[in-house]
Amino acid sequence: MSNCIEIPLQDTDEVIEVDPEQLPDCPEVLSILKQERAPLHVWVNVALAYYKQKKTEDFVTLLEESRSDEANKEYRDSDKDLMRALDMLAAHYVQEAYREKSKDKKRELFMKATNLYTSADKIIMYDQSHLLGRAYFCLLEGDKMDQADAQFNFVLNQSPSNIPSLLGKACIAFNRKDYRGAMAFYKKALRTNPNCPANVRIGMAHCFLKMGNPEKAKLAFERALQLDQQCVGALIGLAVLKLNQLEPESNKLGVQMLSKAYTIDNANPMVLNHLANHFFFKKDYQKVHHLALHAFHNTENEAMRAESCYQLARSFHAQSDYDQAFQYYYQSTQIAPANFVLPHYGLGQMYIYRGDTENAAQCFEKVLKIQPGNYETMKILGSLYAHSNSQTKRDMAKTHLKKVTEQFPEDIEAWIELAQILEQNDLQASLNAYGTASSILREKAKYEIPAEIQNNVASLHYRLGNLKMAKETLESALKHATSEMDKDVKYYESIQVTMKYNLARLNEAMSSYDVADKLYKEILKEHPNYIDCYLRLGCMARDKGLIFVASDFFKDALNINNDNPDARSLLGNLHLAKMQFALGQKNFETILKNPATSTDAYSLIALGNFSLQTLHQPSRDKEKERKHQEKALAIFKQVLRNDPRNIWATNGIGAVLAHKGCVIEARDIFAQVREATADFCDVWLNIAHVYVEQKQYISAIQMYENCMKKFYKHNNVEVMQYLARAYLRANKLVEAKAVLLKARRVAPQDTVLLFNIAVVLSRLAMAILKDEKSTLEVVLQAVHELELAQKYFQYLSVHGDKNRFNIEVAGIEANTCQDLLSQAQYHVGRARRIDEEERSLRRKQEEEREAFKLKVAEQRKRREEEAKTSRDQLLAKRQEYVEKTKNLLIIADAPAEKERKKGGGRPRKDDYISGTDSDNEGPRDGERPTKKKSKAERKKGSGRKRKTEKYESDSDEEPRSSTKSGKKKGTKAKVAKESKEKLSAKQRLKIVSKAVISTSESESDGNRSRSRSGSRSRSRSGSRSGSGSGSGSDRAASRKRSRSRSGSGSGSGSGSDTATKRKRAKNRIESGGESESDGKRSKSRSRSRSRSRSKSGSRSRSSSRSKSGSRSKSKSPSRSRSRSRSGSRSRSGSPEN
Amino acid sequence: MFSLLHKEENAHDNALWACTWGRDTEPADPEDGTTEPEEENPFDFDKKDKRPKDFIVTGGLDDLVKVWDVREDNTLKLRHQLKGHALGVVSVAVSSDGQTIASSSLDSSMCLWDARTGDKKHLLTFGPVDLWTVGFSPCNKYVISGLNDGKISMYSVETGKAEQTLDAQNGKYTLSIAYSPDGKYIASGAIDGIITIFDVAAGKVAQTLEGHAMPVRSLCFSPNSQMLLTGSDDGHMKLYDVAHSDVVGTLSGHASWVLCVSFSEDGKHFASSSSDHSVKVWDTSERKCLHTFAEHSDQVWGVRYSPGNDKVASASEDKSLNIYYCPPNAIV
Repeated sequence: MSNCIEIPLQDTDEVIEVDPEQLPDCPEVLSILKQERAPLHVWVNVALAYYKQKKTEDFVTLLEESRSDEANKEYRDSDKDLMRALDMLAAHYVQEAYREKSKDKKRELFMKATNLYTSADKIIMYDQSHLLGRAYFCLLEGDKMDQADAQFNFVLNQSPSNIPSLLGKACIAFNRKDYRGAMAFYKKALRTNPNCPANVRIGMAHCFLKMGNPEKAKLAFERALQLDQQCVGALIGLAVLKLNQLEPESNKLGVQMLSKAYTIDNANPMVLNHLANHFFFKKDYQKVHHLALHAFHNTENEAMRAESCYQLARSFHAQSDYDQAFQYYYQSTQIAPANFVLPHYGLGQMYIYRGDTENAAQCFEKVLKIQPGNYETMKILGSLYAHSNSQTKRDMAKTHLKKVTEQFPEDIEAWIELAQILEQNDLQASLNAYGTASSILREKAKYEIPAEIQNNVASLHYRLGNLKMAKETLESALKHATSEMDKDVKYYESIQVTMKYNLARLNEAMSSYDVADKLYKEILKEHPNYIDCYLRLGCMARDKGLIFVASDFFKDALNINNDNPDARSLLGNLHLAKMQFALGQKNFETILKNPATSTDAYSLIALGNFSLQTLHQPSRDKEKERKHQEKALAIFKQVLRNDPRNIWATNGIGAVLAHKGCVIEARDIFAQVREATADFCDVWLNIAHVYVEQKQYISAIQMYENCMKKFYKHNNVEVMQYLARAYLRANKLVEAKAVLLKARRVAPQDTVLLFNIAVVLSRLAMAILKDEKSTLEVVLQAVHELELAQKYFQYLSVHGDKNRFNIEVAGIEANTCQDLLSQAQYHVGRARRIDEEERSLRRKQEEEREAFKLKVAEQRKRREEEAKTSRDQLLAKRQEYVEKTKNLLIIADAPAEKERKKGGGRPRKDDYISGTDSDNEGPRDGERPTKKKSKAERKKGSGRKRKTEKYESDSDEEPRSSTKSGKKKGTKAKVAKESKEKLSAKQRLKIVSKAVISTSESESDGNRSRSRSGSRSRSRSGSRSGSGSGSGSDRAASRKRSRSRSGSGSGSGSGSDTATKRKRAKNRIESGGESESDGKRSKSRSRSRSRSRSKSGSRSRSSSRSKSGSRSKSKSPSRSRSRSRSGSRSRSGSPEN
Repeated sequence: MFSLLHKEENAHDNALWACTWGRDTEPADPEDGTTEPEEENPFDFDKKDKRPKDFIVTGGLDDLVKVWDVREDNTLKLRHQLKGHALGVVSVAVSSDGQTIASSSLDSSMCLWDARTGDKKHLLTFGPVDLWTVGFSPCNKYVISGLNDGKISMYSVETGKAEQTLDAQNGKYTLSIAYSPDGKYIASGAIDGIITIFDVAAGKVAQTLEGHAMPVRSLCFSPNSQMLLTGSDDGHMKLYDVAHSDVVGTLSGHASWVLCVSFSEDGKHFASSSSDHSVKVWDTSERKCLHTFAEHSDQVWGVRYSPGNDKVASASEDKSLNIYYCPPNAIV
């Protein structure tokens, strides 16, 4: 620039020329200016020169100085110069502030600028350049866009083609997302000045981009680049466009441009970030780190910094430095704008890695909020929630996954995840999901269905009871696994073991115990540490009644893992079954002593039941009884604290309540449990017991019968005795007898049963004998049965099982029967007499009827003959008549006949009827007297009977006392006693209390089975530890996902996917198996208890079922179990290694 | 193929507890001609054949023993309805000549009936736990029955008197009993799962087999008397070699108690019934299940192969009596 700045010297016409190109040092110039009191415009010009030379500090000093009085402002238009100085300084501060990162300083600078502008305002308010400056200031300050807009408008009003204000308007429009408007302003600016700087073009390019026209944007960028080779913005824009084409060629070009931009401006954060992004995909994490850090330090734009942080985090993530990655992700999420969700995604992954699923889920929720349809996120959330303990979350997981499968019906992974969630509570739906997944696999991906999925499908079929399907599927899975063996021997061997185990379980369920036995033993040969096989073998032995063999197997299991709570509780159950209470209790206590299983619900409930059971052994020590009650209650409460939905503990509490006499409360509790699951035999029994207590016998009977139908294939003697008791108390003796006989068909050696039968028989016989209407046959049968009853009582009084009831009662009963029998002859005689009378009566009637019939027949015959003769006569007469009056023939004939009919026919009929009437009456009258007679007889008889009744009641009372003692000894006798007691009200009362006892007893059994569930919960805790591995796999999957999204190879993903699937598959399988093993365990329990009580054990089998039933509640346990199973899996794996 | 030939619904008024086949081996008596209304059928050209006449005997909770003639078309015709028991008929047996029927009931009484006329020949009563199931000796002269304490008594068909007692010593309640077809052995199964084989001639225990740990509700010898088949509450069946007292095979497949087992005439097959409502037919040499019938809706207490080797009858708690066709040459 040749135009020098002239500084006029004071008082002379000389000037000092300063060459703007070669400005002297600032202080020098300043002193000159001060000395010469140069006019303001000179100051400003000099300052501008400094500014152009980028000596901003000098520029500032000069301008600041110029504001003082040093500058000569006493000339024309000095106002304008002052304005210029102020505006310039203000603009500078604004710019400075814009660049400033520190907020405090920024505010300071803004303050300065504001001050300057306000002082400028006071001079000339509406100076265009001043207004423009102000507008830009407002624009930059961010939140005063409206103000800026107004100021631009003002300027434009004055000069419609003012370019800066046009650009400002464009900028405002752009920020307001009015891209079309922005475009118009840019175009106007361009039209006014076709040589606008490249930045205008860039602005247009951005507008084009936003308007979805990348082609034009590209042109605009290119034009900008032509105008200004160094235009970083254009370079970046073009590079991004190229990169977005996702082709290797264009990628390369894009990267080249970015590098160019980098060489031009190595501090532009945008360039740095994009380069970092590029190097991330190149896996050059060192560079990513470097660039992103650089970018981070070179901008104060939060979005930019968030992206830099994200790049940093991502590189650390990829390098498996999860701590650092976590930090940067976290930082990034803190500063990221709301719609930049990637760092949340990353952070979520880090949380998953850390096992903090709560926070992870929150992160992904945030992502999902911004991008509601993002299916990756939904999938991750789905799998996160799937493992949650809360039902609502699992439901959320389900909905997420369902959405995913709806949106992407071919996402196999999502289908599988969905299937896994559904496994918990909707087996059929889960099966369908698996079906979809496998059909997609087969048809779309042309893959064989992996053995793992087949295995899972098989286990679902198994749980649904489609044993055949399950077996087919499992066998094909096994075949498949064998064929894949060469791919990964170790892995396939391990899943083969699992499948073998499953197959064995299946065979067990199909009652092919021999096959199951073989399979288990095969597994054990290869993997001697597979505890579950020992447990299953033990359970099978136990179910066969081979208690000692079973105990050996369980001990083998304990030898492998001394802390295995399942093995120990099974062993404890065996002991209890063998009535070795102390040993059994010790086993459960051992489990509870182990810190890892100190809250084992199964063992706790077993102990609680044990306390309950001791309650059933009557003792006069009220104090002790209360103590046991309290103890049982405390234990059940403890279980409920750990797992508020434990139905077994709930049932136990109900039992305690019933024992305490709070029948209503107990019933409510049982009803609740029953609502929770229908697959829990004990509750059915308990409810039925309560019904009996409340004298709702019909309901009780229904309940018992349904229970038997539902839970037992064979005759269950215990339940049948309950049922018989209910019938007896409902006074349905015949039914009671049938039920007891059915029970005896199964257990002929059972003396208690015999006793009960004898009781029912004698009752029944008495009822029949009392009934005067009983026919001879029935009476004879009754007498025979009475004889039998007497025989039974007599036998029992000698050979009865002294431990189960008081045999003396039997003796007394026998005597009673004897007495009854002696009186029975009378009844027989009476019945016989009646029978004979009736028979003779019938004979007489018969004869009379015969006679009457004959008579009637004769009469009819006679009448017919008469009629015939009269008709003949008439006919003859008529003939004559006809012949006489041939003309009248037709008319006369018909009426005559009618009349005749009336006359002849009707009377005949009437006669017949009346005849029969009279005949009938005769017999009837005859009958009546006899009846009266019989009534009289009856009276006599009843008198006698009354006597006998007294007898009975006496005898009853004695039994009662005996029952008490009997009860002490054995619970079964209760039923018998109760039945006996039926007679007197007092007795009944007593019975009630007894009934309660029996109730609780059955309940306790139930509890035991329930305790099974406890074991489940145990496994749950195990699962917790296991979840780590699970989340790990998730992580792997998610990581892969994120990568793929960013565009990296899609192929590599499948590997990790299958891995997760596999793991899952394993878990699943086992879960199925385990539940069953539980069931079996319980079963064995029952068995050993010779009592029907033991039955409850078998019920436990139902416990596996109950899973499904109580699904909603206990579902989570089952799931957890499966997880824990994975733990066992790893164990089994170790031998392989 | 395996099929259901006939289902007699409500064969009894209450649960059926036992069934067995009988066959009149003697050529048609003149008496027979009169009692058989069928023979009056002028279109029955087969009547000249000495077709053996098979009948089925059933017993149940309604205290009745019923004798059913099996017609050509496999439908049943009630021949007799025998009254005399109380508390339910637990077991029935027919002598191999088809003349005599023995039955036992829960009231511990045993009846011997003339199969043709339905007359009661003897009524024996015992102590409350001294009788359970009954069986004929191959010579048809004796009826055997197990006692509470593991003893076996032999009663003369002729006189109804106890002639011999075999003592198992320390035995438990005998739930099942079988006489070997060659007349040498009697096997009994007890409630504790112990199986005792007696040598009849020596009057002593020949072997004690601890095959099961749960009640053995049914056992039977193979027709050649070399094998013994047992069925137990543990859901398993076992085949023993009688001479060596070895377990030849353990068979499982029933989901609940095995209630009854029966060999076919040729010994190639046997049938089993269970509380799981099913009837299964097995191959003896392969020890595999050939077929499962699931025609009953309740426990199946009795199952028997017909003397003709090709039919199986089953009696169930659901009050029905089924006859199945089981091809004698069926293989696994």
